Amino acid sequence: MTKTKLRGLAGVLGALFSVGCVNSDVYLYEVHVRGAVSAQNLGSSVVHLEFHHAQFFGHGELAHPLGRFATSIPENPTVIDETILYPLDAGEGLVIYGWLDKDGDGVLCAPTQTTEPAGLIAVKSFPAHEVTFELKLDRPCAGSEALYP
Amino acid sequence: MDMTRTTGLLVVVCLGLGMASPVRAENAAEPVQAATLAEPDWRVGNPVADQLGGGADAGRWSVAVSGGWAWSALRGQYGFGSRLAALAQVETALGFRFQPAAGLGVRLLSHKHARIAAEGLFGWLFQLGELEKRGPTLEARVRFAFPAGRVVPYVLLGTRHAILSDRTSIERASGSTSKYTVRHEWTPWLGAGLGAVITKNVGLELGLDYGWVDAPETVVIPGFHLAVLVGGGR
Repeated sequence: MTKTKLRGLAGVLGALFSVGCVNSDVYLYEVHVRGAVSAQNLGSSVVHLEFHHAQFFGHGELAHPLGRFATSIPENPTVIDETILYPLDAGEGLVIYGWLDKDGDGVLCAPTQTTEPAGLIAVKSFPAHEVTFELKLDRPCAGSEALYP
Repeated sequence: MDMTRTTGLLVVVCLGLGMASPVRAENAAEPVQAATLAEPDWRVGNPVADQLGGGADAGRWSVAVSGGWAWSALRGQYGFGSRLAALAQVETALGFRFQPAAGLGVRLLSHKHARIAAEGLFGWLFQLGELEKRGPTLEARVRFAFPAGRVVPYVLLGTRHAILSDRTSIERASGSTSKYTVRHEWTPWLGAGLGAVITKNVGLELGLDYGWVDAPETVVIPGFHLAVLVGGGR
């Protein structure tokens, strides 16, 4: 049997295996994200970052904005250098949302905490394996759905 | 008594006997036939005993067609050797989940009032819809049947294992890579019911199914089925 025939047989078997065996087929797009977060009184407070699809599912007027697929708490929010895996089949576009956890409770605002600032940016240069951004946190207690679209 | 009256009496007696004789013959045959149906020889086998108790004598075949909620199935088996049976089945849950399988059964005990068999099957799972699943399956089960008269109460204990593989492809600036990972779906199974011999080659069965798909992550959904069992062979 020639090499070509062997390759063909391997291809057929591989296709059968894929059709008959593979359940979840996830395609991820690696993105190297560089940027910085700015906010008044940033100090040593923790910044929470969320990475969203700009459009999560649906089309046209029924399209659902935002779908979080990754989160991060950067060690140094003024110099962010992260690698994220973007699910290609789950949506379109890239949006980064962040908020400043001033009291360190892990929760955005509370009845006694109404000054934790948040911000959001749509990354225009996506899709690309390397993107940069500048995120300004200046909207107190705003959730991502209040800032986009 | 003149000859005419004597002849007439004889005719009446003969007619009476002639009419009575078949009746007596039928009455005489009834206990024999009733005894045959009431006390089937479970060790020889019939479709009810073979399907519910497992195993079959060499050359005997049986098929069970069952329908119910949520599980329906078509099962067949053929006996060979002294205690073995080749098994084949297709099972579905509401037309969304299909599992064809084939395997081997071995009769461990064949007593007049007890029958125990172990079965092992290899198959393939195809689940359609939102929660699509597919992959090879292995199943082991033990059947306990207790023939009594014309009925066969039974209990079935089983464990099913499906191997589900996933593929994750990552597209990097330097190129693409794919990685395969494997999940395991466990389905313990408890079945119980009652079979009844209708004729030597036909039976009925009513059973309850407790199949716990993807245990322990989910909940058990009990079901029931009604089956027609037919068989024959040596």
